[in-house]
Formats: sequence, C-alpha cells, structure tokens
Amino acid sequence: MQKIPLEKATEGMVLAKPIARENGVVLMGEGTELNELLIERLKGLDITKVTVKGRPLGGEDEKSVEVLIAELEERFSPVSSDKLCVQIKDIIKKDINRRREEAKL
Amino acid sequence: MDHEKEKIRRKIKAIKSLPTLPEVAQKISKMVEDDKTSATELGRIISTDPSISGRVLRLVNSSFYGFPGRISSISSAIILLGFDVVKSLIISVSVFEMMEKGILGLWEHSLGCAIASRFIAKKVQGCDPEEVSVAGLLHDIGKVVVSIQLVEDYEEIKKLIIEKKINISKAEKEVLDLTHEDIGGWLAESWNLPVGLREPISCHHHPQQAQQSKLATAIVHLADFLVRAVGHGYGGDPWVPDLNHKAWECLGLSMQDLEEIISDFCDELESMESEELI
Repeated sequence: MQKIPLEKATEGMVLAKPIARENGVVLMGEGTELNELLIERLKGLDITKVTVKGRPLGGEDEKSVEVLIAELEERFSPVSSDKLCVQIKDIIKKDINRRREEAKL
Repeated sequence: MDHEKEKIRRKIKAIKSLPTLPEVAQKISKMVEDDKTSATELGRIISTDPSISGRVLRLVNSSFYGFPGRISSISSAIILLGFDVVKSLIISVSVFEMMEKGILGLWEHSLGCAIASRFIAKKVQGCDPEEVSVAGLLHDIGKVVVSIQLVEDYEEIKKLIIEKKINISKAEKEVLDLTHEDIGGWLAESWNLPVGLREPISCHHHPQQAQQSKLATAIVHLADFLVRAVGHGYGGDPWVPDLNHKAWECLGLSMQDLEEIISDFCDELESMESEELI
C-alpha cells in the first residue's frame, strides 16, 4: 500500500484505504478500482492524495529488507548490551517486516 | 593547560553572543505576554513577515498538526492552537531557517522528534502533547549554534565522530568541553522560553537532571531515541543515543504502547514524505 498524490493516480489502481471527507463521510470505499472518470471526480472534490494497493511509485530505488535490517543493527551497535534498547530494536524490526508484507498486498 | 582553558573561555564567550530572534518573533513574544492582545492583532503582526507566516501555515496545515489543508490564516491558527504554541512555532521556523544552513538532515530529525514526542505524549497522563511536540522540535537548537557559529570546531567534532566512533555529545565535550544541551539551554534562557521547553532542550540526554518538566524531558529523550532508531533524518552521528531507563520507567508505558507509538510514528513519517513537507 502506498499513499500517492492524486496526479500520479492512474486507471486500474485499487484503493487500499477509503477516501473520506474531513467530516468522515466516505466518498469511495476501500477496494474501488480507479478509472479516468473517478480520478477526475476526485480532482473536482479537492482530494490531493489517495492510498492505493501495491507500491506503484516506489519499488526500484527501495532498499531491501535485508539492507534495512543491517542499517538498523548498525544504528543500534553502541547499545547492543542494553536489554531495553534491544527490545525496541526488535519492535522496529517487526514493523519493517510488517510494512513490507503489507506493501505486497 | 592554561592556554587550553583560555581557548575554551573565548569560545564560550563567542557562543554567548547567541543568535537573536527575528524582529517579528521578538514582537510576538512581548505581545503574547500581554493579556489584552487579540488573536487578530497577533495574526496581523505575524503576517507582516511572509517567510515566517508562510512556514507556520505550512506546518499547521501538514498532518503534523492534524488540520491538513484547513487553516488559511495565522489568526485562525492562533485560535485553534493557542498563543503559546504559535509563538513556539514561530521560534521554531526562525531557528530552522538557520538550520538549513547548518547540518544536513537536522530539520528532518527535529521534525521527526516532534512527531514522536506528540505520539508518546498522547499515551502519557499529565502533559500537553502540543507543547511537548514543540519541545521535540527545538531540542537540538544547540547543534545549530555549534554548526553555524563554531564552524572550525564543528569540523573537528565531525572528524572525531568518524575517527573515534564516538557520538556527537562525546565529541562536542572533547572539542568544546560543552555539549549542545548546554548551549541549547543558554539559548532557551536568552529567548525566555518557558521551562516546559527549556528543560527538554537542556536535559534531553540527562533527563534525570530536569527539575520542573521531568515528564516532558523524558518524552523528548525517548522521542529523540526513536527518531534515531528508525533512521529518519540526521542528528549529527549515525547511532542511537543512550537510553535512560529511569526516564523510560517514569513514562509508565508498556511494550504494547511502544509498538503502537512506533507504528503510528512510521505511518506519519511515510505520509509526510509524500506531502513533501520535509
């Protein structure tokens, strides 16, 4: 899932989150497949961003999970004997993995 | 040795002539203390500085404040956020105009720390999330002063960090016999910032030294750790700082709370990146 500016939205993308007005009224539900007409309509409604499934904009320049985890380990290297810090590091590791799994959806 | 001491003394004197706030921020500081000042009046004064008012509006309209795209004037920002928060925001954006010239990535680090502070504050009883987040935004102002006013020393500090693999506070101590906490504390005092901002700035690596704002200081301490931990922005060296266990305990958070904070925090960072605010 990725939040993208509306200008980058194209036909065939699928909403991963509903689009709602500030007052909470849902304009388009999760799972809606976008087409030219819907995109135009959103532009008319002053919507600037949409969250879509997959990662249509990121991908090629994105770091692999292995690289992200290695960088995380390096950042934590001075505190590797501190139990609390290691616990926090594990939470972040879990978060990185979860995010990557979700991105595949 | 005496020669060394003299050198340090001269440096301290150089830093003591701290940067002053832009005129508009000084005017506002005075007006905020006057009960008779109205939001409209204050808004008018702030609007006379287009660069500052533009940045304040950009900040309040970002997801950082949770009013995306809704605030079109400074006076409505004051009504929604209050005098003190707007005053602190003006100080922040003024500082960060300087910051852009200083350390690359420090603005992102500071904004990240502000966001993390707000998420932590929401889970902790007895503190104001808005004020704590401004404290997070300003916690490293001491580093800005070092990088801009003591350019040669800052080069030396950077060299030490790489050669000795020590964190920025230790390197600052070796070169200046002072750290960004000390310098930030002086700056906060000379700008008459409230104690709720002063202590998180002057004690964010030594939260046990905070006297009146223990909670806010502990929050900023943890937020600083978290923003480094997730690798957002650049705080002057590539590692997480030491984590004070007493400060962690005084917040009374569970590991479950922390998981939620980290997840919300990373979501927010992702969405801010796509807004291109940072």
